[in-house]
Amino acid sequence: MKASWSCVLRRRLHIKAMITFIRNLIIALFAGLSVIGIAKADVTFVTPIPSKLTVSPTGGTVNVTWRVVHVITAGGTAATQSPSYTILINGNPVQTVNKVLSRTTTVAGGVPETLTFSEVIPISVNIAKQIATSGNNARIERVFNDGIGATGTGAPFVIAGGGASGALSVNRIDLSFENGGKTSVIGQNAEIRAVAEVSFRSKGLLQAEWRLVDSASIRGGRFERLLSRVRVQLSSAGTGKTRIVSPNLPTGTTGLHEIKLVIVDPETRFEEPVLRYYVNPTATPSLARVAPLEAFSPVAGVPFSSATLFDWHPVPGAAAYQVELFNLPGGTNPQSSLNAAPLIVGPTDTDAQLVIGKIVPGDQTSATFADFSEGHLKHGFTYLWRIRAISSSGTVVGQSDFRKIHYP
Amino acid sequence: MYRILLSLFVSAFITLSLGSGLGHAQESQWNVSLVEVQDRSATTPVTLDVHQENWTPNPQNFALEIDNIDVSALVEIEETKISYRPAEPLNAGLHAVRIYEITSEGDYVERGFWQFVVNHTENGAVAGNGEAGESGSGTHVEASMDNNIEISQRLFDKNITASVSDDTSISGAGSGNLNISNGNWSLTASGNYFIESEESISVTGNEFDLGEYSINLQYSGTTISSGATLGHQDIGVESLAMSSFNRRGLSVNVGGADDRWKVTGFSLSSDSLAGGDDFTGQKEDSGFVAGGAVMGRPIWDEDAKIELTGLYFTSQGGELDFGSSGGLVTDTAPKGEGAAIIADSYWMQDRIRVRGEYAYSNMDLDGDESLGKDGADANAVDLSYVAIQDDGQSETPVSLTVGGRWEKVDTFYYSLANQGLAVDRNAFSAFANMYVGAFSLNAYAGYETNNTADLQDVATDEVASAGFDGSYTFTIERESPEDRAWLGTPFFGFGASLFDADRKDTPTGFLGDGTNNTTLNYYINFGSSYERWNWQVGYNRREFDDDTNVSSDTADETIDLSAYWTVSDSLNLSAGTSLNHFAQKADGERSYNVSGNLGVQATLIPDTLTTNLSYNMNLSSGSGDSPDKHILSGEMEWTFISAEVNKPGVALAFRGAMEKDDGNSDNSLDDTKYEGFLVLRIKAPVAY
Repeated sequence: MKASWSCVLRRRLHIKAMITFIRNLIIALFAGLSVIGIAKADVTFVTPIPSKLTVSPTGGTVNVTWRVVHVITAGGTAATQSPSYTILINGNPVQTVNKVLSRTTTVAGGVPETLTFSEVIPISVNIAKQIATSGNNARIERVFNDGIGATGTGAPFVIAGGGASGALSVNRIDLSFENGGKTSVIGQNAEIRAVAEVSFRSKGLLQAEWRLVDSASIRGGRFERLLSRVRVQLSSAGTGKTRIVSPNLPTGTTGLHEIKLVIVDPETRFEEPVLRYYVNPTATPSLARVAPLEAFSPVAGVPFSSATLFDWHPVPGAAAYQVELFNLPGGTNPQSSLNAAPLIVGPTDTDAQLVIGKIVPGDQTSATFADFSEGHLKHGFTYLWRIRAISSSGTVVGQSDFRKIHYP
Repeated sequence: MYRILLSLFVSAFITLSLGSGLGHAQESQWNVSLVEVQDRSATTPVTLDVHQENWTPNPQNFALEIDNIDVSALVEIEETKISYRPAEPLNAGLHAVRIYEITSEGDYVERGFWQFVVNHTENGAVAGNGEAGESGSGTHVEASMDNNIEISQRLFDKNITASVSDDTSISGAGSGNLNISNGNWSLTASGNYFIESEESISVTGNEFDLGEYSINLQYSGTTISSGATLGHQDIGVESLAMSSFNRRGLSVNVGGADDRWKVTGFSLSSDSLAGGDDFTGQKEDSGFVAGGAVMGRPIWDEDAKIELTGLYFTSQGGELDFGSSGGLVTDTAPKGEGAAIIADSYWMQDRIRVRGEYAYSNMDLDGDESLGKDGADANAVDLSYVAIQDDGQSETPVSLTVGGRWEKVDTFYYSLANQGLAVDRNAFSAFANMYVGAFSLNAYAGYETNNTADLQDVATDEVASAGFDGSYTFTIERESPEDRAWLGTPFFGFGASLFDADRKDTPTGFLGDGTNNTTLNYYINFGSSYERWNWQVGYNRREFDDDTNVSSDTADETIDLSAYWTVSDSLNLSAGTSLNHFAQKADGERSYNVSGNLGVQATLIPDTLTTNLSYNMNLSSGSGDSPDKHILSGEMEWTFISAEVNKPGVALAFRGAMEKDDGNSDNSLDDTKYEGFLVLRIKAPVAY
């Protein structure tokens, strides 16, 4: 009796196991069918480009392009994405940043599809210093998933230092007007330029564009006018800095204008700064007591000589005009001053030292300098010049903006 | 015997030389004297007495210069007196007068030099000039402000997604100056402001806002000079720790009237600021750089000058930096201290300059104290020598200056007062600047390495560089203005630079790429200027070769051509074009770009109707082709009431712009947008 009970029990267990086996087999078959016959996906490659990234020991940015190759055997739509990246130093994760890269595509069955994702990854000063002082062995890891279950991993090396190897990166842009100010209210047809101090690392071609939106479209279509294209080959063992000066900014039309230096290559992690300047109506028949004085020539680039003609619009009330040349702020002219900051032409005025001048009667609107005046200048130096209109009572009734002129 | 003959010969030669020299000097000496005036004021005429026999009072015969300003055109001649009444009141203090004879050959020969002192300015202040100063009783006030506002109404548009929501908007700006002086005290203030009804395009983010300003109170005594400045300022210290640091804040200084010493205390924002949200620049959000500087000049004479400067400050970064982007990648702002000691000197009448500097930073770079503070150094030594000095007398002036610099900036050196400083470099450089007549040439060479912190796992690269720039302006002797007038005044410039980067030291197990690349730049430009117009053409080429093949070799070249013509006082024309070709050799990518601009500015009815037009095009092709773009914008203004001082003016203008995109092979990218506005403009200059 006991034996029969045990036999029954064993038989029932066998049957139960068999049912479980058959059920699992059916599930497995269905699962297999669903994988093989309905949609099988595979992220076959994740390739970071470049495979080695360099960053300054004080941090900065790295530009990386992830090339992801995936295949959907039966074709269909897949959302390929990577939710985050992780920075690993000596194999140990030190920072995970949630930043989704995603793209949804529909592809034909069995045909490999290549997707590219480009991004700029900031490396903090903290992380960069850890990399530099901990064996210089770090990676940035991203896991890509196509949403159907397949994953692939890419992990370029991150090298701290490396001087002039690695791709060019731009770390900082400081934009100002040539006089050092960040804002400007300027007279019509006066001369003004923007200056970008660009901090960079490594070597390569910096491609940028000076773009301007003038008052005619700033409150509408915002038509970005290309003022000039900038191509500069840079090279530095450590970090470097270069100064990029814009061409003369348009001041013919009054109103608000916007200027920026757009970095085309390399890609930056930040938006380019923007400066705005306002062009006031000109001093046509003398607007103000110290009205802007419009000088025609010499235009930018024309060197100084005793034959150089200084030419300007008349200013009513002027009993005399004085053409003046000043020393450029310290530093550019080797001996103009000790320790003086290069910025002496402040946003609103100047303390520059007058080098030569020429005064002419008020009925004259042009002048050249005599040889003896030229003798006070130093060859190879650059000077600032302006013209002032002086009334019969000795007050200044008009004044042009400063411009630069080179004495070869 | 031969020694006696030689002595006689030498003696005779010296005697003849001296005799002829003296004779020449006597022959050329004019008998001119400056008429002395006791208690000279700022507008007292400067008068010279000419006692020369047979001297004819002809302005073509002489030139007069006061403080290097040629005043000949305003000189009055009365028999034997040459007199100049200052068109602008002279400053109190020492002034210089020179008179030149204009020879029959047209040369200028200096015939006299004098100095005089202006004791009284117009308001009665007495000049220091080493004497006891007194305060004048009068207060001189001068103020001016230029105010402009315009109301624009959109008239029409096509395919425009307006950047502002309202068709009507108000925009304006102004700038003002205030000068108050009383005796030894003076107050100067200047600044600008902006009005913009659309916040999204306002200068500072506010509808009505201050831009930048500066207020300076100055005391100039006989022994002490002091001042206080509020607003945008640069305290004037130039070093590795602080450079071109023009920030908003407060500073006070006191020093000797002879400029032999100066002490400055300052508290400036670390960030660039514009607008009135932080008027004084002392808010925490703006960061701060606060400290002091001491300057002393223990020796300061013609033969030798020594200036010693000490600088110390504490600092913390802010949250906003107007006009700047990027910087350290941190969650919180860096903070810490900075300091510098600078010794600067000139010797041999300024022919030799020696300058040394030691700067120190002790910064918590990520600002959250997880890294702690990093002490780091920066050092620089400059040396220059004027090997050949232009004496100003030679027919062909010649000058040669040579020099060098050593600069070592630690890998982790950082200063909030010099944020863009290139760090992690140990650099040597040399230069030579020379000119011979109108030909100038500047040459330089340098060598630098990185990894100044000697991090054992970091590779060390070296970059050697060399280059030169030169220019020449042709001097054309003309018998008359029409003689070869077509040549104008021609000029040309040229230059080249070479950078060669190599790996100097590779640590064991280094995973990074190697370094072996070369960069070459060169350019040439030439042009000519005429009385009413000028033209320039330039060619620039840049090449990059990477022998490690880690990055692609590239070549880039640009041709620029521009011209400007002032047709008349009422018509100006400008034109320019630029052709650019870029090739990336590894993948064969090539791009071509042509851009151009044309500007016309004309006065159609004097003082009433003016117009200006601007056309800009940008055409590109090749790899990365983008649609061609043409932009035309312009304005025509009718002035109803001309603005004068303290009397507003009114003008009405039509302003419009059009942009046309041409996708070439891709018609879907073709697009034409245009818009037009009516603008009422009010100008209100005020002055006191």
